[in-house]
Formats: sequence, C-alpha cells, structure tokens
Amino acid sequence: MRMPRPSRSQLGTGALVVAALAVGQTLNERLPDGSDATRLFERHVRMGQTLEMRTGDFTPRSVEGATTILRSIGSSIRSPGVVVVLSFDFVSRGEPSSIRYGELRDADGRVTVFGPTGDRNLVTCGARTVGIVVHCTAVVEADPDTLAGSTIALSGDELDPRFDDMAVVDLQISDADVRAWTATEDLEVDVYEVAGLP
Amino acid sequence: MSARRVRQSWWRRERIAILLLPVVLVAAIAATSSRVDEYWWQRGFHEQAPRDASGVVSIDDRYDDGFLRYPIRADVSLVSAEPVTAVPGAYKPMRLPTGARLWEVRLSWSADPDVSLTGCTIALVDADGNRYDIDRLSFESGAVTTVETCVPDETPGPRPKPGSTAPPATAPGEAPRPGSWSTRSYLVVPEDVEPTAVRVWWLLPTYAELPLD
Repeated sequence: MRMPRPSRSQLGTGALVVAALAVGQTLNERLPDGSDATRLFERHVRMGQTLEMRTGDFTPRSVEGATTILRSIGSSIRSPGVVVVLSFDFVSRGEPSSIRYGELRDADGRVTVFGPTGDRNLVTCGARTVGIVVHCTAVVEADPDTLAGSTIALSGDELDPRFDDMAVVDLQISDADVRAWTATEDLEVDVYEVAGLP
Repeated sequence: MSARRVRQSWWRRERIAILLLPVVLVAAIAATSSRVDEYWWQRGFHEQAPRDASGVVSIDDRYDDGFLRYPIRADVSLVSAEPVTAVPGAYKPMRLPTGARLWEVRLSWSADPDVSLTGCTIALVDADGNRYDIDRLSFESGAVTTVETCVPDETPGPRPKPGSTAPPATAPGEAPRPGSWSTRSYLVVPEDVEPTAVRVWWLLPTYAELPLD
C-alpha cells in the first residue's frame, strides 16, 4: 500500500512540533534544577568591609577563638576543639530584619549549620530596629585541624534562606591563630547588644 | 488560489481561536499564580482599612488557620505620636540605642468586648516607606511596660488558647474588656527620621494607617 504524500501544511506542522520539542528539551537541560535555582546569592565580604545585603548592611568586625567562652547572656561553652566567635554589625533597611542563619565551612569542606536557637552554636543578632546598628555574634565550635582557611556564611532567615543574599566572610584564620586559640580559655563574649546599650 | 488569498482565508478561518488566545494566556497565568497569593498578597500591606472623616479607622479582619476562625474588628484613632524622653512610672533612667529617639504613640480604641484583639503589631512609618516596629528589646524603658499592645493589660478580653480550636475566651475571673479604651506604645526610631504615620495590623494583608498631622 502506498503511503499518502503529506501536504506542505502537514510538513510545516510536523516541523513546528519537532522544533517545539527540541526547544523544550534544550531549556530543560540548560536551566538550573530546583536546588540550584533556589540557591542563595553568595556575596563575599572581607573583615571591616560593609556588604549591602537585600535586607540591610552587614559589616564583619573581628574573629576570635578559645577553648572556653563566657557569654554575657546564656550558657558558656567548653569545647574539645575551638570555639570561633565572629563579631559583626548589622543595620536593617526598610523593615525590621536580622541575621539568623549561619554556616561554618571548614578547610575540609565540612559545613556546620547553626541558627538563633540552641545551647552551643548560635548566631545572635537581637533587636531589629531599622537604621540602628546592632552588634551581633556568630559562635560556632570547630575542629582545630581544619579551621585555618575556613569561612562563615550568614543570611537572614533560618527557616527558608532560599533566594536571598548570603554574606560569606573569609575568616583569615592562620595555623598560628588556631594554635593560639587552643591555648586560650575564658574568652568573654557579648552575645549581642544594641549600639549604645550595655 | 494566490498566496495572499490563502493567508487571508487562514486568518478568517482561525479568527475565533486567535481572538481567544489572549484570554487563554491570561487564564493559564492565573491558573499558575497561587504563589502570588501566598508569597506576595498575604505577606504585604495591601488592604488598607477605611478611615472616616474624623480619623477613625474601622478594622475588619479575621483569623483563619483552617481549624480556628474568629473575627478581628475594632475602631482605632490616633490620639498623639511624639518623641518622649521618659516613660511614665520609670524607676530608673531610660536607655536608648545610639542615634535613636523614643516615640510615644497613643491610640484610642473601641470594640465589642467579645471580640479577640490580642496579638496586634504597631509600627511607625516614614515618607520613604521605612517601618519601625514596636520592639521591647530595642531599648531599656526603666519602667514596667505593658505586655499587650492594643488592649488593656488588666482586661485584654477574649484570647485564643494556643493549640486549641476552642473559640477565644476571657480568662476565668478576669473582667470583660471595656467597650472603649486607650493604649500607649513606645517605639525606637532613628533620631534623623520623622515618621509620617502609625500602622496597626494583626494579619496581613489588612492594616490600618493613621497619618500623623
């Protein structure tokens, strides 16, 4: 039996369908998948620099470490490793906001996630008045062997940090710093304060 | 048949489909827009409550979590909003953040005593749209401050019971809330900011806006 010869119109329709499928397949392959598409916008900032995040201005001030810390509020910590304390300032913009999610990324690629609640690893950034400087801290225990070269990444929302800005702070920790911190005890840490208040 | 006549006949033949295409596009976008409601409409200030000529705003909102529903209805007006240097009844000096002023906002309220009004938020807003929420951790008042924001501390009226689907009720032994009352709230604002309005809300997107004269 002889196949009927397709008309120009049918050939055109078929070509359009094939083209649409090809475009769909290409888009599917090229566009980022779910987890990649919802990733945070990582923005690197050095100590002392101010990073304009979507929700406010973030300025890392200093990093210290010790085997034991004494917090001004809450329990103190004694660690078999080292407790790293990153002090930073945050100023909300537009509406009240804060920094409530943190990750310590060590030299081995291990990630320690922490937030605003818990007994040990904590990011504490209290009052959130727009335009007022808040002194905040990120406190996290670390393995001294992989601490040099670590970064701390911080962002606003601990429950759903997707899509938003994340400040990545190069802690600039050297092996000498780690050795000094493993010999340091009773580091006093102001958990947080509003600028001007004790 | 010439090519031009073929094109003309195609447009004529498909005219209904072509006319319907924008409608279908709008319907398709609307059908995939549930996140607009969840991530934008319900998270922002979009429904401003009406304000009458005397400055009274009538809030008509409702709590609904799928299990518990109750109305939130009240009339509110602005009595005053001004910077202050002390909180009444202070037993020690007030302490403010560097570069900040404390504003006192006085509101006048009236509502049915059976309506639950706990859990509201008050903020000052400026001309640029910046919002300064009430935050008791943002300063040291040096005084005993109220727990409730929009109802009297002693007679807050009906309150929902956490985790329960029972309707909000007044605590046993507590007097009913009066039909009208006033509140005083304290908010920290940067000293170079001049607020332009007081904003009051329970659940977004509904809110009341009370301009400062």
